Amino acid sequence: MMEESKAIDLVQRGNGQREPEEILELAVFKVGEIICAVEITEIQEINRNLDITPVDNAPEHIRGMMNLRGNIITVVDMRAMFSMKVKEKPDNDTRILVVESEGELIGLFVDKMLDVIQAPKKDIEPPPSNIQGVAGRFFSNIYKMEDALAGVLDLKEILKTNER
Amino acid sequence: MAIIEDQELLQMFLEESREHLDGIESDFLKIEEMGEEIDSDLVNNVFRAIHSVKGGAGFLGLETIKNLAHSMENVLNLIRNGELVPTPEIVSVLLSSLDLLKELVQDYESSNDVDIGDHLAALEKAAAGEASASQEAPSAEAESPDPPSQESPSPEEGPNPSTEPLKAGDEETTLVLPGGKEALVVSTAALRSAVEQGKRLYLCEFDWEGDLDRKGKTPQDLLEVSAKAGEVLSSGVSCADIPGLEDQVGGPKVPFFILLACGEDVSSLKETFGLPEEKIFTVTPEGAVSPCEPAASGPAEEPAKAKVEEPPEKPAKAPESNRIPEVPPKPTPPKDQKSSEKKQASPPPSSQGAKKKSETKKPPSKLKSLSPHNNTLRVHVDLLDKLMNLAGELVLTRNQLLQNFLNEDEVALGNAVQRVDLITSELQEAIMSTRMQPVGIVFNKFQRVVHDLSKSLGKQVKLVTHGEDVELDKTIIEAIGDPLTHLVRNAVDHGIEPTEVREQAGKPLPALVKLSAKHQAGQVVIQVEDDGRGIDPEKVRAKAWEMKLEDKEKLDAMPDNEVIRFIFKPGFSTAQTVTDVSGRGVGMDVVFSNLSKLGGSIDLHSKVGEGTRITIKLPLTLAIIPSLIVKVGSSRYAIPQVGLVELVRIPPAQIKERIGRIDDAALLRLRGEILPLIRVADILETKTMVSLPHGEEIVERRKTLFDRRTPNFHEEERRDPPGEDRRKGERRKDSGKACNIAIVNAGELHFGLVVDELLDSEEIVVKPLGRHLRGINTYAGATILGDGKAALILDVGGIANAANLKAVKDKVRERALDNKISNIQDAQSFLLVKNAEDEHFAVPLGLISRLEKIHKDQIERTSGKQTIMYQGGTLVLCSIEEVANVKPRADVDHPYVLIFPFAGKELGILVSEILDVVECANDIDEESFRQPGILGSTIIDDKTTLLLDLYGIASNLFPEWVEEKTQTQRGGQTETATLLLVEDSKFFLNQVKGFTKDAGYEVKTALDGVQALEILNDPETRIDLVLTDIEMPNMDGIELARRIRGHSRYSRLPIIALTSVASEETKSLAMEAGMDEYLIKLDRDNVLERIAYHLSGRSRQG
Repeated sequence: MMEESKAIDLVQRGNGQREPEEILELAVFKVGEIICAVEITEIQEINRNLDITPVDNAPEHIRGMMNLRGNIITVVDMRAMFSMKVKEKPDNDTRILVVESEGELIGLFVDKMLDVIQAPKKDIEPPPSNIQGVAGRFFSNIYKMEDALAGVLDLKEILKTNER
Repeated sequence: MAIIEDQELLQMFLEESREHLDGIESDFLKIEEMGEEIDSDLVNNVFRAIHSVKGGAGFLGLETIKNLAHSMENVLNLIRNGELVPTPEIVSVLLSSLDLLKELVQDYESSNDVDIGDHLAALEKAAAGEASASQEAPSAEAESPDPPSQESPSPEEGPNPSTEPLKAGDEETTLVLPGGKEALVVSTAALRSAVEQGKRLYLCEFDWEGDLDRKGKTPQDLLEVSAKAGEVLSSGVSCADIPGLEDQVGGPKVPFFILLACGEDVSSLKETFGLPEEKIFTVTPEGAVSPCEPAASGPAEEPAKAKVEEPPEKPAKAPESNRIPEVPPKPTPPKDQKSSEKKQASPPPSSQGAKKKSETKKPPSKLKSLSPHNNTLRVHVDLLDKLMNLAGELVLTRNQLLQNFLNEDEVALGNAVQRVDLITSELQEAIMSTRMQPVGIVFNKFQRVVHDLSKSLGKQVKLVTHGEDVELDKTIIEAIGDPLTHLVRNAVDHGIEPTEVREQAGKPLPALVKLSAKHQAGQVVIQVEDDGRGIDPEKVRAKAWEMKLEDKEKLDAMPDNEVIRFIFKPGFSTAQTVTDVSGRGVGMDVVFSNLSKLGGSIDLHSKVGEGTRITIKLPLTLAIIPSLIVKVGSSRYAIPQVGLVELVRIPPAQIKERIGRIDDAALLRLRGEILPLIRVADILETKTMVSLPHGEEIVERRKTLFDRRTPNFHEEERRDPPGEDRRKGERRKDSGKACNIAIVNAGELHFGLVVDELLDSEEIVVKPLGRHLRGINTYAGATILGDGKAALILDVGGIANAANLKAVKDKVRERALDNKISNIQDAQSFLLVKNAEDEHFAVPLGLISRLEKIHKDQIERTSGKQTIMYQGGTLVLCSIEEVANVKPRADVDHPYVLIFPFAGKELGILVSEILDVVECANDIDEESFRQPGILGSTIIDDKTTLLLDLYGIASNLFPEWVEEKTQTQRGGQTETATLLLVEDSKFFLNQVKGFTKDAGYEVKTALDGVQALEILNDPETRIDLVLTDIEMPNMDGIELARRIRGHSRYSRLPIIALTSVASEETKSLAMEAGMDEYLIKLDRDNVLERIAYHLSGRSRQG
């Protein structure tokens, strides 16, 4: 809950500023050592209720499902998505980003929320062609932060069902 | 272009129309059936339905719909008046028009762009009594109908036909405003008759926006006001002249017209309606419209003027098809016409729309496909009131809850909680009932399906439906439509033979297809039955072999009723020719999977030459289902109660005995049946949270699901310390070691699911799984448990598939016979009871008529006897320790009473606890513990168990009862009869021999059928009666009976079967073999009585 209100705070602060140029608001979070970002408008809520029921026989990147106020939502483990070793147990930083995709709510199981940032559009670029594998596939854009690069997730690609 | 002002109004119209149209299809069929003998109520009903559709459509500017409905109405009117006989051809035209009408209503937005010319022409022809032969595609000539004036040269034709070439026929007139606007279409007859009554005709133009909406009036209000002023001949909206509503920002004008016949003059009308003068027009009986003057001199002022003025934007010639509905040829006198046309809201076709139509007309078939799903639901007001009430109650109780919680008043809190409980269940029930709809909604449409189909196939088929009132959840009603359609089509196409074949076979015509629904055990059972040729299992076998679905030998060995289930396999069809109806080889598998998705099951019975019956079982609702919650590993799962047969718990000591294996499959022995076992944990492998390189195959599945199973069971066994803790009576609670099995069924398949724990029964709300998880067929969905956690719902059918149970079942069948042979030992069911804490007793289950749990205070002691009041009488009780030398019964609050018949009365034996029912084939030791009241001992669950001798106990305590009985039984018997007792178990042999000897008979014994025959064949011995066991080595009782009956000397010899298994199957086998009676071993009283009966019968005969 705290996290949610913090996120909302950040959003409001962002809105309060004047916008001289086109700005995207990105929620930035960590999956392993990868810094990822999702446009804030795509996120319905950030949740720390981690009561996830595992689903046997499910694809390996599916962490399980959970009860989100009466709806069953599927939770995707972003670490598994990036072929990292998954966490056995969630820790204090673990969050679930609830996003909407094709009329359905889906949770993204991420390691740590970092920030909500204002990203001028000009600083967001398509991923360079030399990024191969995971990044090239799942990132629609790259945002250059002051000290690091954040990959903007291509949710459509990540939440695709047919081939996985 | 339809101008649809009011979404709500439109929705109402659409809903109503759908309801009307759905309802009348079967009426049409009935009309056809009755032919000349017209049921006017029926026709009226149809007429009304079409009429209200027409009215609504006209009001909303849905021209095409209105026109089509209008034409249909005309035909119906003729039928109603008996002027047209509803021949099959005419009804076909009407039906196909009805279909189109439905489509149009469904897709109302583009309805005005649909070309309905063909249908209109066909209807017109039908009305003219020459229905077109081809109902679906009326011939091209039909599009250019004869000028109406030729068909009915009415003298009452409009006054200026020459100047008004497009004038709408003899019966109807389009009122055209002086400005060129078309207002209303009215019947000239109505106009004329009004004028004849001395009334004046006024056309009032209202502005929908200004005159109605802003003043908060509805058209209904207006009409009511008008009705006071005079007779409303017609009213409606004209949408003709509003090119692009959105352009006119300032004043969108949607005119609403009322044609009024009244005696008043214009000024009073002005007052009544608050309309300016220029909005009121006078109308001549010929339909000419002119602006009125304050003192309108006469109604027929400028009859021709308005007509001549062609609206400038009107195309030179309007498409004919558009006009056709306005000019239906009417051989009827105007009187009839009037009655139907009066007071109709029927705005004229729009010229604008007409232009558009001519450009964008498309054939009806291009309409987007119909969606069968309605998103709205009509609910009875009473039900709504009830819901309101309950909601109110809920709020009140919530307040109470809060109050009591704050006051910490526990008693009141408890009460409030209870009320919430009650209200919630009631609320749930009420809400569920809003979703319930009669299955007749679906059934009714099959009349049409069968009608059309049998016609196109040239077969005579009649559809009979039963149980239309049975209610099902809306979602299920919607979902079963397609599968049922397929089944019904199949029945007509494949099932029913061609007429000639039926005639040859002497089968009745028309053939019957029966569709029925009924409630059964919390489910709805729907049957589709036909009396056709049935499914030939040989053909299915051949086809299955051809498709390589199964090995030839296996196919041959398979029972027929299972073979025909192959038709549910994908791509399977036995139809010899592929027709366009069915038989494309798809279908039954889809039906099967669709129904499975709904949680239903499907069963098939078929007899060659007699017909096929398909039984579908469906849950009443999908939304909330009672389920069993089980635990596997650390997760909980729900198993829907529908698929659940029973729960079985195998104590550790019996695991070895009851759970066996064939090759790699685990099996459970349950009451003589052998069921495959599936360990849920094996199917739902706990996911390994190990990272794998991206894209690589994820989980390594076990090759066969049974590989690890049997070792697991044995492991459990090994872990089990023999007999230690069980002695403390904790065995039953110790769930860690016992094996918990939920017996479930998927279709015809029964099998056991092994789970770690059986938790609870809960009503769960089914939630769909996300799309990533939807493909996993072992789950039927998810739910939220009481503690808020999400849990998966197991799909029993999916699990059966995942485990490839089919294969297991085959193996079971193969081995079942072997098993039977090797298992020929008598297995007797025993009731396991406890008296003193550590002494176990067993009683043959067959001897006990009832079990009662009582309270110890109920036991009364009178004159040294223990009794209780039982079923209005007194039941005498005895205790084991009164006779046998055993420890006294433990003093428990709730002892049990085993009630058994004795000497024509009932007697109860007190025990402290009932443990279990076990099947035991172990040897019985008759020596070690032999004493009064105890027959012997055996080992059950590794424990020495004493076998109670109920008769011994009873006769020991009440010797006088036995004597009475013996007296009566042997009253007429003078000679000593000789019995032959055939029994392989020494224990039973001794028992039965004992009590029959005691009863005074000579007893000879044999250990099997062969020995028995030897004795019988010995001319020295005379045998009066044979008592035989059924299952024996060398020759069993059934064979023995056959042999005896085959022998002339013994054809009348009474044979009584004594058995421990009372299965119906064996019983009938025994009876067929010629046995006279079928009794349970050790049921001494009964056995003796029957022996006496048969012997006396024999002596009577002999």
